[in-house]
Amino acid sequence: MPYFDGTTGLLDRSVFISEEIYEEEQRTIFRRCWLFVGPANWIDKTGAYFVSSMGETPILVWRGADDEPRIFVNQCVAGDGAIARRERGIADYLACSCHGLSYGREGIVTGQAHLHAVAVPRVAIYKGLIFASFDPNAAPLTAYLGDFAWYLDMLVDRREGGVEACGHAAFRWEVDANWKVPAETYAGDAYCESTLHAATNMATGSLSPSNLDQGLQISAGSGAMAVLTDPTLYQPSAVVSAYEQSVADEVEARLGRDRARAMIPLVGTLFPNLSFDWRTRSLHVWHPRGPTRTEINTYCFADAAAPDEVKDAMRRSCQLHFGPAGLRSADQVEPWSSLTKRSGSLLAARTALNFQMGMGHELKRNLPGRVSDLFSEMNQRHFFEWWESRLTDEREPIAAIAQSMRIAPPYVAD
Amino acid sequence: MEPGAQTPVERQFAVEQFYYNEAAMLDSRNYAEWFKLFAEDIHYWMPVRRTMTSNELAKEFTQPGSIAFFDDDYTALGARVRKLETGYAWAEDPPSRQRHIVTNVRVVRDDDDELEVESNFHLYRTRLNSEEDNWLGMRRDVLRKVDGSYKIANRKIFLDQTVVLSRNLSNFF
Repeated sequence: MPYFDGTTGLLDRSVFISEEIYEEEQRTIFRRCWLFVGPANWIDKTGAYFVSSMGETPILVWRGADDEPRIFVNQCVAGDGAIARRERGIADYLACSCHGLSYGREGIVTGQAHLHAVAVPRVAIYKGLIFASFDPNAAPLTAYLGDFAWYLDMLVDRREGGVEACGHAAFRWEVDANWKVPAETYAGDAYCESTLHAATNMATGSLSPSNLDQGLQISAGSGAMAVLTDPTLYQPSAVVSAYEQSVADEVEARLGRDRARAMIPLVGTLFPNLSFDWRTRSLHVWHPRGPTRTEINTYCFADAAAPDEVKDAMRRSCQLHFGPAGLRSADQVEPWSSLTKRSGSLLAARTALNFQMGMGHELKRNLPGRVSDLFSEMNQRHFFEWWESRLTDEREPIAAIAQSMRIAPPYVAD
Repeated sequence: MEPGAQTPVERQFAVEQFYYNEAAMLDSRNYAEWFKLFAEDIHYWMPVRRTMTSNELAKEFTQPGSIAFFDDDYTALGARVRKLETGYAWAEDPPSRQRHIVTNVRVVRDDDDELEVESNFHLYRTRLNSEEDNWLGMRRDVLRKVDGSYKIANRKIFLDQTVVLSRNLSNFF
């Protein structure tokens, strides 16, 4: 029996609380997929590093003497301690506090060339975003993205140089929800805009879509997103609006009319666990921390080529709406937590979660992927079909991973 | 009596009473009255805290101009208050039960027209059935002397957490 039935649009709620499914996700999805680990501009100097995580695994992203980014499991191979004990910095060497093993930027222990930090075998930078995979045989990142790359570029490829994070910190907070709930919500739930965010919209004078023809849901490759086609619903600040007008021709030259003018990104998810809100230039990562716990990391991003005052305006917009104190975040986590908690009850176990909205009403458009009205759950169905196909991947488990990670591989630009 | 003519003991009493009244407004969710305590040039700010080793503790908190949990001017803080009064702010409706404890109040600077005051806080919250949160930290305020009382002209809130261990920060500090 599948957990998600694409023909009926019904989901077994146990996927949000089951320990077994959670552990299987760690073995398959978070081992095989490409995962977002952080912004490339956080390692803009030789020796710069920051800590992050891939699934539950703590990692260290470090720029080498050859200026290539390497990623290591942030755990000494011979002792108990972490290699990097603070969240970011610049260093030629990092020493474990247990036995003093000193790791160079290539991951090799000083004076003991046979000892290496466990290196994550695949690293790729995509237009300012660093991704990595534990699977040495993973297809290149661009193949993994598939048709979603065309849409992702609406956010990250508007100008030369891609995007960068504003500021050297992310919002980090832990919530009592399964990681898939925010991931599927962000895959394109515009339906919640006028109710869940009613208070925020009233307090800030923001508009929300009220008709299903004011935008589209799009499912493509390893991602899904909602776009607005009614430009009156997009209300950036005066500073951002002036900036966007000033670069509109340049953006159109890079992306073409459809992606530069006809569609405005709203929200989306690159599977498994990277989501975005375009209006506030926010990136969210949903790190699994147990079946019913998620650590959210939120980054503000902007075109790398944007002037500082524009980056500052985007940062202000991101932090007013997102992060633990964010106007939108505060209300979002309520239903995510509630759905997770209630999935454990006996009644919930017998009542499938309904994702039927918009079934049989896909639209014919000359766009990559599948397209439906803005108010639909096509994207949520796409997410769970994708999730289940990856969860039940029949290939051999990555048994050789420890061996293959003994030696830091050269950086391969996918 | 003008605040400036107070003895240190009277000043301490006045500042503590100001904070106790503020805490009572927040505990009873009287946000409209609470908002009146702020000067129109308020900067209400809670930076992000990061784990750093002792030799780099100066970089523990993000700096003004970088990302922050709260980074509100008068307009943004007013939007937060308006949001809570709409009846649709689901994170606080049903409202959480909150208790603000303010202690260790120290006047660290006393100019002619402003005080700088540090205090510790403990905010206890329960919500719905079983949700429970504790936040402890330090505030550094600039209190402007206005009409025999104070307006909060600047508030810096330093929370004793890096990864925030609650589902939101939907209350005020």
